[in-house]
Amino acid sequence: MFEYLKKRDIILTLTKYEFKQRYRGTALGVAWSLIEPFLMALVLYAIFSKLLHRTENRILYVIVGIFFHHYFGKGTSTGLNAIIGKAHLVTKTTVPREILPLSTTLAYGLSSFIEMVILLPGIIYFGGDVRYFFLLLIIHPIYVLLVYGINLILSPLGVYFRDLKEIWSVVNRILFFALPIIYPIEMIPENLLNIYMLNPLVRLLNAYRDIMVYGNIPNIYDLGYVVAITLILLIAGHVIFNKLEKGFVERL
Amino acid sequence: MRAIEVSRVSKKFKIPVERADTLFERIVSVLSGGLRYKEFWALKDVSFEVEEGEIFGIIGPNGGGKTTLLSIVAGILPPDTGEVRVNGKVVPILGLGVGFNPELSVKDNVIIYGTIMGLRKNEIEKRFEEILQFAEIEEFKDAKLKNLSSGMRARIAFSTVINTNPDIIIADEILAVGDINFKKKCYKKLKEMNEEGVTILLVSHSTGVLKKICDRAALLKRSIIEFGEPKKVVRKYKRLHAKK
Repeated sequence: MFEYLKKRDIILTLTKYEFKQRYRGTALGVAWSLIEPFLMALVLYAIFSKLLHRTENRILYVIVGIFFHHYFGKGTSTGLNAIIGKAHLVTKTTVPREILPLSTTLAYGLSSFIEMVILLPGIIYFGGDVRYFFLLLIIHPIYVLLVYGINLILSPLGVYFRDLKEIWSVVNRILFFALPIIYPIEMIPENLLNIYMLNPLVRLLNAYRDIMVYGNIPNIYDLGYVVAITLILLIAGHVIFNKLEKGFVERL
Repeated sequence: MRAIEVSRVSKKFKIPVERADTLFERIVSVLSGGLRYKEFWALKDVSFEVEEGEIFGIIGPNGGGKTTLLSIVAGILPPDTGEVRVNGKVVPILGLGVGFNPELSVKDNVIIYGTIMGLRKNEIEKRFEEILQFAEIEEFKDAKLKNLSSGMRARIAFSTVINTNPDIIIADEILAVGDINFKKKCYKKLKEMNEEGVTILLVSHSTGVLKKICDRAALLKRSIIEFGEPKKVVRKYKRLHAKK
């Protein structure tokens, strides 16, 4: 089931060129990818900052939230397309199929990591406490693996259901409002909070804010919960992928 | 020793009577009594063996299952029944330049294509000059792939593939592009590799190629109709066409 991880050369090469292609030679490539979430953050901040009037450092609160969700949206929507978009690699070569979602996940994981590092001077300027920023090196890989687990489920399903793309973009939009990005967690009613916190992304987002804005060490139990969910997703993802990959060639 | 053993392979394709590629269509079709399929056997009970160091040709009418058979031998498509055994490193060339990205340079593309075909990255860099030389495109090595003609792209792909140290090459109609000179060069190269012990299984529509370079051949029309001497197989193939 994990045989494919041995093909390190293929994984690295495909990841590298996926990444390279994303910034297609434009020197400002990374900057371009920052502009969209940044404008989004400004607009939302202008409209919703009242909701956050009690939140400490609310502009950074919004910005980190937006970038966090931006990676999830981009990472899963390109992951969903990983098999369909590279159909010829499936029908004409023996490249292990898992490598397709893996390499897009890694490429987008890397670029979102770079985006967050580029935010660093801005965070310092707006008064964020970045003494634990280096923990991003641990937390971001967890996030990337979580996205990979989801992509292992989405990318084969995308082959069977071509409208999953549209459905998923709606899910993504709903998720945006299900995460504490433009409102504080305190707004969630007490009796719903337990359910609200089941979403591993809520806890993970808290951890990102802890290290990027507030200078706290993230809650270890929250991280443990996220890691557990990630492992479950990875295992379920491999099982589902293995089941569905037999039909790929006929359907592509 | 046998390089490829195909025993009693069958492949059935299910073609849905109505389309059901989206979740919405799926739900509709389940509600209206389930999906109906038309079954269709692309291959039925195909068995043959390819000896090590042999060039084996497959010929047959369109829709006769040639590509399906090659995909199964290459391990890309699972057969419904039967078994395929392969000894050695198989390099399937079912399409030239799979994974090519027109926005990237020639070198980048050679690296991508080479790794996909199972070469290590440092081996590719070592052989890069050789690959360019064989493709006769040294002067364009820094160009973006999109600026090259389709024939040139096919040349790059072909010369990359032959540098991947295969034991067995599985080739589907690969030399349809390229000019006469390059075609000749390719067949010569294949022949040379064959003399060094590489087994080749190829599909071709050209009866000339079949007669000239293959040791044995088979005529495939869902199952194997004729087998053995290329001349005999070609004769049968022509007769099959004359009947229509």
